[in-house]
Amino acid sequence: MSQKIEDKVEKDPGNVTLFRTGNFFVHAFAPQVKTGSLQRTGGSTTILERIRWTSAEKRRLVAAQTRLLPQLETANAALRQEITIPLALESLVVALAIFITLVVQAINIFNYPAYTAAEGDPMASAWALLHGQITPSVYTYNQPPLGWIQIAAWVQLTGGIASFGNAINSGRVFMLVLAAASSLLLYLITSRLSGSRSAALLAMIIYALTPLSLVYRREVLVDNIGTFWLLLSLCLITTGKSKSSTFVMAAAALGIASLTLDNFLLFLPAMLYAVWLYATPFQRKFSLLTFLYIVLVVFSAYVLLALLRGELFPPGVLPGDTKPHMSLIGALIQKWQTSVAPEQFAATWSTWIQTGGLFLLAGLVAMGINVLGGTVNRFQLLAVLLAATYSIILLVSHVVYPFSIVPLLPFMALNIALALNTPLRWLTRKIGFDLARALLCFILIGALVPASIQQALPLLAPDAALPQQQALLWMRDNAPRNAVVITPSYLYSDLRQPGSMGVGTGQPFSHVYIYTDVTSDSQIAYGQLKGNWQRIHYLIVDAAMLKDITSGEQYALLNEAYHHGVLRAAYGSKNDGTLIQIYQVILT
Amino acid sequence: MIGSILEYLYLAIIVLMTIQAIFNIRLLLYIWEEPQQAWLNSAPTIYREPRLSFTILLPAYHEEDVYAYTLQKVYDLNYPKKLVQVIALLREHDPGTIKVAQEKLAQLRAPNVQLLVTSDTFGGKPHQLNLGLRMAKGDIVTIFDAEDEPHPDILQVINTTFLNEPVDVVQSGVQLMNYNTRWFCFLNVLEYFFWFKSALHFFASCGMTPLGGNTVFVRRDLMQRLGGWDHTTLTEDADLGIRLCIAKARVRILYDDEFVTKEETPHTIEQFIKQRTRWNQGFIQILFSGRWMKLQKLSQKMLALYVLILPELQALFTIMIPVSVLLFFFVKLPVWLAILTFMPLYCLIFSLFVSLAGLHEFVKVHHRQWKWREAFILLFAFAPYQLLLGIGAVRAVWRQMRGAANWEKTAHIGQHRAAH
Repeated sequence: MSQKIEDKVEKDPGNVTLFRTGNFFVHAFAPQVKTGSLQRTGGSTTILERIRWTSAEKRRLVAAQTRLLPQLETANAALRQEITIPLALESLVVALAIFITLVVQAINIFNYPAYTAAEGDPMASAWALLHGQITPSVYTYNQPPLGWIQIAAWVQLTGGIASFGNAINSGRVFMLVLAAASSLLLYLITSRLSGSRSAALLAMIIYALTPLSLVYRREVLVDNIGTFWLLLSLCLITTGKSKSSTFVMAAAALGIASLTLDNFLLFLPAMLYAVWLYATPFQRKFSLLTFLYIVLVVFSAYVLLALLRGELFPPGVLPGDTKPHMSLIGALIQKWQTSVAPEQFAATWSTWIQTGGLFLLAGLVAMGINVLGGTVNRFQLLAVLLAATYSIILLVSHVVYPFSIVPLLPFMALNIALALNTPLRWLTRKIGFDLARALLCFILIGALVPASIQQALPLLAPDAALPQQQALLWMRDNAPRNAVVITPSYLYSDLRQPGSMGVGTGQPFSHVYIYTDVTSDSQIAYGQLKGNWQRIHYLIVDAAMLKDITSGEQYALLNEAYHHGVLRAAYGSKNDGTLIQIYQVILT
Repeated sequence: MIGSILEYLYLAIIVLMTIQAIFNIRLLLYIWEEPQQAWLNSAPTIYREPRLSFTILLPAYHEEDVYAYTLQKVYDLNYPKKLVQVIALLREHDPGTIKVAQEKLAQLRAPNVQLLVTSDTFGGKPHQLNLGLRMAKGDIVTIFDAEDEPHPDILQVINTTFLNEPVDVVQSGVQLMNYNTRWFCFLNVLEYFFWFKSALHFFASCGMTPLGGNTVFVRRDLMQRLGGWDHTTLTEDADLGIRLCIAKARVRILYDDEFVTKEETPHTIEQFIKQRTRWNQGFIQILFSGRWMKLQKLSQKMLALYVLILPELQALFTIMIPVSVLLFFFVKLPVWLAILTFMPLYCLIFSLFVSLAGLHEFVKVHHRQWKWREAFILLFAFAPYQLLLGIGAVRAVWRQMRGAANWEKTAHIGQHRAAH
């Protein structure tokens, strides 16, 4: 084609128009030189030209030193591993360690500790959820419902609430599974933060075998579920190789954690710091933004739930909203207005010191060491930040229960392992013998495992929950099924569910109420019981309930029924606090 | 019965909106997904010896204000002059620019800079380009627009890329620069920023790349085998991208902040809407031409379909968002469905924050100053900007239905040059 064009070129005397047809013309300017001499691929450049090029390029490179390359270094402490261990061996050791700790965890799990309201509430709510309600009675926005949604899912998966004998047992098996998963997650996290697998193993063993863990990790607590999600989030961040998909999943996990236990939203700053550490500078901005946004979006489901139910604001705030109802904001305000109970905190504190004083002390010292180490090693700082975040949550909380320490345990263990590992690594590196550090960790582990087991066995031995189970059996055998029964929350599901411990093969109890729901201003007291104590037939009373109904003014109705009750059965003993009594209310 | 059907329909729309919004955000952030992706946008630091010859096509129409400067810039590119052919492509009813070009050529007195004036009978830019292609002698053909400001080293970078990697097409970054001259400029600039820096890489990885209108470097023989540009469409660049993908050309996207070709935004809202209308209408034309159906994989076809109807889809969905929020408050829906209706809104808010972060990134990599005032303007401009895009989308559909297919020109006054 070009040949054709060239053939047709009119030699314009002005050297202007090269070619003209109906649709275009070509202008050229003197001097007219053919462009056909352009170089082809394969380079027919002369040697001289190439030499010139090379030197010009060298000069350019010298001048272009300031060129910015993308910063892609991932924060990877694990790269510092110096002793190579096959993955199979590592997995085997970790699996073995988890197995041992699980066996210890499972010892007498169905009978110790005694069931408490903290365990009963989520189980009762899970039962209610499976029957179309968020909680057995009015939902108070005390906690987001995701914790018991997960328990309900577990119950469905394992074939019903009575698969393991009774409801609490079923929940405790779930906790066992979560404990194993949480231990593994802590191993992975510590491994990435410290770059040492022996330190990670140490952290995991400390976490799993500290007496506080052995007691509280087996209880059916939303704290245990939330801690699992929190650790999962942290694990995804630290092992994710700075991929945004893992940051997204980590954010979703933290969102789920905070929907399980709303306090966990306060971990957001510490977790953002973790993302900041583990995202490459190239991705940092968008990773932080994505993480923050997704956590908030997931958590907002709780707010939306309240909004949808018309229960976001307390009554009287919105025009036309005058009927009394529960509200999310009202519940938050109430939480903050609850007076701090120093004596309650003191009691909790002494429980902690008695059960795991050494562990807590070691954790605090380790945090101190890590603050110092954190000036050089930001991973230590992250560990301190995590532990400090939850410590602050505990300190500002108005009510602190002994089990509230659950989320702090993994971070304390993490701090202890890091505080031991980093100075040791520094020392052993000085003398060029890093294996010594690993050996030392293993010696510690070797000493720790038998010692803790020895300490734990007598601790876990008492059959504290036996009286409660006996009470259920008494109800099964003696009470009519249409009786109105007032009970602590941990017996609720077992009295309602067909085939469960408190029901057996017959019909379930149709009128069971948790005593905390029968306050003087509640729907149950007014509606079902019509404000009349005579409508109550049975009261199952434990120590805590007895104290509440005899001292609290809002339980006047129950108190009256109690005073008209005749003791039908009593199990356990008053001395160790396991006493549980069944009263039948006698109508006068 | 009807109620539940409506409920399911509504749910389906909400799910579609959410998927679209999440996919859109994924496109925006694709390049930041994994650390290794950074290298995709990193230009070679050591240049190979110039071996490939280039033909630079410079189509223009009524660009007398900026054309001489652009010619000079292109002529001054750091590359052996004998390996570069510059063809100024002008139209016969544009004496002003022809005059400017002639003066410039006379001043340069360079044999490798040529002027080709085309007749207007056979249409605009694609026709100019096709004739330019006939005259092209270089191994690689490329286009710069009249207001473009290519990086002086761009040919070195492209030469090295072609020699180092087995590619047939390189799309280098194009970036609007005057991000703070008008309220809508922020988002317009960021659109380019995310599109070239991130989204195109996703398209390239799927094998369906709608190319940009300039700074595209294609092997000349490939271009000639494809038969040049399609002069029947308003967006010949997007069409070319699809045809290259059908021909299984290996496309490389390279957006190095340092080497982008600098451009300017339309300088009035009217111009902006006209430009959008033209693009959207071009996309509709390509959609109806059905060529995209020839793409090999189903995923490529779906992606092409998505890109081609995106403007209309986005306009529709943007209108739907306030509707869904109203429904949330006034229609009694099941709790889970009602919570779900918030997802599209959440995605929209997220893309707003992504834009803010994008602005921060943009000012950083282009060495401008971060100003909170500008961030707030961006925030407030977000909703009206969606409206402008919506108007562009509706107008394109309207024009296409009426059968109006003339080219609405975008004027250039060189704001990106004054900007620094």
